[in-house]
Amino acid sequence: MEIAKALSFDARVLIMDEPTAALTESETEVLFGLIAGLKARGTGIVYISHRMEELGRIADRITVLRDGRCIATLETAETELREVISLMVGRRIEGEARPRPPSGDRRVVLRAEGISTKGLLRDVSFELREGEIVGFAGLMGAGRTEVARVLCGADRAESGRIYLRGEPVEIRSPADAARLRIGYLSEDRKRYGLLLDQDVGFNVTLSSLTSYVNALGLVRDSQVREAAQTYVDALRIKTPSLRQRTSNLSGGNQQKIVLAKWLAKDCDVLIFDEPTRGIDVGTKEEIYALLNDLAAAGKAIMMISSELPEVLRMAHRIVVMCEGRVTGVLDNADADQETIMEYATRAGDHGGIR
Amino acid sequence: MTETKAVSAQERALPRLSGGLLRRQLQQVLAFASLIVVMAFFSLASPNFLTWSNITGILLSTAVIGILALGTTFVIITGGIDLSVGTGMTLASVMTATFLVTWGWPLTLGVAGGIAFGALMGFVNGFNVAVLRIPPFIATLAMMLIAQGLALVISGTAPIYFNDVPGFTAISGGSLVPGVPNAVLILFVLTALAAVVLSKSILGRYTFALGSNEEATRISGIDVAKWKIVIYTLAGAFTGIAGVVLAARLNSAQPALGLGYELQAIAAVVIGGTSLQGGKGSIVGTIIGALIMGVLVNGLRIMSIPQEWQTVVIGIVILVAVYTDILRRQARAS
Repeated sequence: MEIAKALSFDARVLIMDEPTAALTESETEVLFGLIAGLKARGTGIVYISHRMEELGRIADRITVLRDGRCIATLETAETELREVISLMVGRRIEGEARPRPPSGDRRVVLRAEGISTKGLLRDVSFELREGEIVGFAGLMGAGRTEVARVLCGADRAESGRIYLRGEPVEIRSPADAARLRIGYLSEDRKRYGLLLDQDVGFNVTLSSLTSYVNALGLVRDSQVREAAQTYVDALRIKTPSLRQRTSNLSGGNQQKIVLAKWLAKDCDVLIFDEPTRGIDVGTKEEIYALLNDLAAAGKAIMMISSELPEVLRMAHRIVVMCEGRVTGVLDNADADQETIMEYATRAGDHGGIR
Repeated sequence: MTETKAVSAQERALPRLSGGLLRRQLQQVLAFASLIVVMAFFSLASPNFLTWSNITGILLSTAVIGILALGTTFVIITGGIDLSVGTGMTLASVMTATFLVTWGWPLTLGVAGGIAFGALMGFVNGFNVAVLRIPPFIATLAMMLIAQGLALVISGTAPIYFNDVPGFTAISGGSLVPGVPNAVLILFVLTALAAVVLSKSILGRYTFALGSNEEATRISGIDVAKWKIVIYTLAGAFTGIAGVVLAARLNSAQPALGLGYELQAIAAVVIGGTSLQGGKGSIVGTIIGALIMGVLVNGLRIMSIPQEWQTVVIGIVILVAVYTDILRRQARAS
């Protein structure tokens, strides 16, 4: 709609700010077709995006801005995208790194068996182990978020069992999940993650508030501040103070706040749903480092991501879903983008390879 | 697309917005300033206004609305509304009369029973809202009608007098602190209590959390239904206390009184800067709001302005109060 409106102006210069953020892949293709047409008619287009692949495809020149300054302008044809990224970050990014396989015996922390829901999920089974990041790959609508919502008690499963360290558990509500130390970072942090009109300190300590309360039910403010400050420092959340309204922070810092909330709760199982969506490249790297640290500290991590390079880089094992079923579970060493895509598109093939 | 733009715009504004206490409390400061201005105006307009007896008179007439408004503040901060506090108060006073007069319970037990009955109505509201998921407006509207009807049925539509209950009227009329009627003392004590609960207790924090983003609060592992029930029950307890205080002041339970009190309580809350959208508000603001209304009614009466005009003025005050709040938000957003 917005795009159609902009086009109707018949402008000489068109500025597009993250035009594909709300678009599906096929809609993006249509947009790219339109842009090519406009270019041919002589319209100048400023195309703002953090999606590298897009820039590589449609930009003639790429200008990198960082901290309000213009860093460089490069000819796309003569530039490696990795170069652009390192200019954006201001430091070199490691190449196609793969995670080191976690050492020793990894105990199973959470096991899901035959989870089905009324809507989408059919017989979903998998394990999360201590110190392990399990990537959940699949196309939009494959049911990954639905699995996460069942694990964190936001939605009820119709059938299936969940075991925590071998014990069967009932997760009827997010309060149950929190008691069992399962934390969920939603893909939609503004709707399901944050109290946008409350301050940073409140948000960071929301889930763990009961641990800063005295016998009278009064909150020990100094402890709250101390705890909040600890996590703000540890996660390097950029905020002028703990009293800053959360809505005033950038997406990356907001995401860190949701993460801090669950760290403050000291969760054993952390579910990240698209943890780096809408976040700038530098903060992305920080989130990756955090995920690795958390895994190293023995947390069991479920990471849903639609970006295959991210999954390959981070996940020790990869669960691939398609149309509500698990179609494949891969060790990182056996996985590449093509294999994952193959499993992710196995609609109708309901073998459930394990 | 718009989301990204909005975020970057806010980031740019960030240093300017890291403002302090004053900006945060501006609505209360404004409300307090308005109270002072209104009082200054009436003291100039009439020599009878700024006298001790008139001031205690204002406080006394504010007490019942004020107590109702305290509980209503909690409910409104969660993003809900409680329309049942007016007639709920009436039913609580009728029940208090039933316990003390008809059934002859001892004074403390009867009073506690009246308050507990108010809490029970609040509990039912909370259950209907949190568990049955009936919208607060509808759930408490229904309770308002039920309480209104029951008060008339139980009392047989006639006032019940407390003449044979020694010590009852002293609950409002006595003076534990010389020169201050107990009703006013109760209002002050409850205000302090409510302020501590709202700003310091875990209940208060969850009240704000619910109003800010209920679903995010739920996903954060907080038992949203339980806390909603607690909050509506608390509002009900305040309703019960208001019922007892009103009955003691009138030396009777008046079954036909009470309708409309809920709107005055909501008005006090709104004038005090609490947002009907939830997530924002304060007890101090609410009390100032209640006092502004009390002062206006009293001052206009002293100036011999007919009663019909008094409600017109209060209506205008509500519009002005809410509009200044909107202006303030816009100033902050831009």
